[in-house]
Amino acid sequence: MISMALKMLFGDPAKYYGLVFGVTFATLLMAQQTSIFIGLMARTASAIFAVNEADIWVMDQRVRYVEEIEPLRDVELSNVRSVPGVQWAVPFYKGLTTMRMPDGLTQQVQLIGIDDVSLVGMCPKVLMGDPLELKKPQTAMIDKNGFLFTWPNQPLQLGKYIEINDHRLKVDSICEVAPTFLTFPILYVSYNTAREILPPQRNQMSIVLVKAKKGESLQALKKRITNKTGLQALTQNEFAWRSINYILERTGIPINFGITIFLGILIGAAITAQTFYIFVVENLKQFAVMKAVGVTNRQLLKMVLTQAAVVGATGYGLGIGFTALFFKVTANSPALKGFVLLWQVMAGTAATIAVIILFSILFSLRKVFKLDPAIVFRG
Amino acid sequence: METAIAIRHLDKDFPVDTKNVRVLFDINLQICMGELTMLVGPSGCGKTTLISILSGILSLTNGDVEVLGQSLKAMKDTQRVLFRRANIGFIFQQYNLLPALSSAENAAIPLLCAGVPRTEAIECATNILNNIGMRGQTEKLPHQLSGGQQQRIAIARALVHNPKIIVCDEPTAALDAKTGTAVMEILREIANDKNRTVIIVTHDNRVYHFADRILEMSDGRIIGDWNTDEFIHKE
Repeated sequence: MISMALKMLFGDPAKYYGLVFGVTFATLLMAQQTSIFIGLMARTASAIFAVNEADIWVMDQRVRYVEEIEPLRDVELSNVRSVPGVQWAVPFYKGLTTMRMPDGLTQQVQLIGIDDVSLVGMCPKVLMGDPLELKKPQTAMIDKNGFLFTWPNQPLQLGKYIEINDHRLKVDSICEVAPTFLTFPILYVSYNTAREILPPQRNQMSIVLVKAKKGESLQALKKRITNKTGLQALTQNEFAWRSINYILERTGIPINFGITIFLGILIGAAITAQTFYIFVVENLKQFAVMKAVGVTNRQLLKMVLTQAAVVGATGYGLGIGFTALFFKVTANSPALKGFVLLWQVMAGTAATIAVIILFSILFSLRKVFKLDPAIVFRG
Repeated sequence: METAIAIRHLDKDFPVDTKNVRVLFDINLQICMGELTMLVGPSGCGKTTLISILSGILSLTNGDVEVLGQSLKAMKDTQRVLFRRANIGFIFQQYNLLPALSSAENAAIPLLCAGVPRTEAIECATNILNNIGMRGQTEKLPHQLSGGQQQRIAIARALVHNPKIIVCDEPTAALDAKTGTAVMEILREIANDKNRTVIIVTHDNRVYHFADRILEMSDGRIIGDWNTDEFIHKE
């Protein structure tokens, strides 16, 4: 009976391909858009996860998002250092500034100022040059994509100069960073260099990075820091989730992606349900003949489920394949770098496709079950 | 002769809008094994409804139908399906073959749905097809065959599970005279088996002489029960 069901399915190639297309389209749209959405959320937190040396991030109470930071007074660094349980605390600058490009145009860049002595907060993957050069004044480290953006069609090389606020900085090292939410070039400089090249401001420090003493409870230390300084203290994970939640709550990104994913489900379900329904309706006489000669409803159910399973598996496989291919092809594109197809997305898509398929055959099955086999006697 | 089908005071109503319309009125009938019985009458007189009921496809309204000693009225839907599968073979006017299946696969459907292994079922269907003049055609798809050949596949499908009752609805209506006669010769031979009975609904007066008995219907009633010679003479 299974082979009979499959022959019925493959016997009408146009409808079979129509069904597979519906499922493939839905799978592709769901898996690709969900992956990009998750990738974007991961980008939101990647700047935080790039700093592995610190246990606690201390910042203004109003900070809700890593890209929008309220500056702190310099004295807060000493205040944090004086909290019992703190092994070390260093200043950290993160903000946007404007760089003059070689062609004379200006371009926003993400400027990261790290502690001059310890270099805590340094980009973890250096491709070229010596990161210790950052300790020298007026030097910078640029990320690879930023370099290629600034000097297109040129090989990576050291010794180039960039200009920020009338200060010339020598690029002494190049690094590779995990893609961030903002796609501007990323410049690492020492904290003092950052202070020198930025326009004068009363407060400039963005964050105090804290390392807890060995055996110290992070939660207790956070509490002590907040009690002593009145500042917000978060672990790396907490700050990452706070930033992600901000994007989820305060931007239209989740809604836009949600709409696309929902449309993918809706259109995929509509195409699949309609084609499956037409497929069954056009084969009603064949089902009626089978019922007349003694095929039970249970056997018909097995046949229809087999057909649905084959359509679902083929469409899902193709859809996931196309999604994987998309991410493979775009792996080196700066705009799409870092987006990957996670197994959780594959599993979630599979579950949704299964629901779409079951929903699609529900109406068709009702028609088959209620089918009067006596129609076989009508010419 | 052993009774194959016994029909007692059979009525059948169909719902039309809000009321029921009676299409069969007080049918009483006995059909024996080894007979080829034809049901004749004008279109809409109830012939197809009657064979649908006695083959367990349609339920009845009043009365009872006993097929091979078992009351169809007492059976549940699933029981009727299993009863049909085991005891009744069907031949339809439009053949009703599955276009994606080969001749042998089409003929093997009743065995496949009864759970017979595929190889065995195909082998059995192939043997029957060979016996009714379809040697060498068993791998072909229905659209590659003529109407007469397709009807032979339908006959093989009706015989493959060795049922005791063969029900045919206008089996020659879509065939030319020569092919129709060839098909009727096969059905006649089947009916010669004392353990089988063949019931044929037909309008085709060219094939009346193959019958042992002809039942004439009009307006939902059996108005005549003739032997073949009497009926042909009357016509």
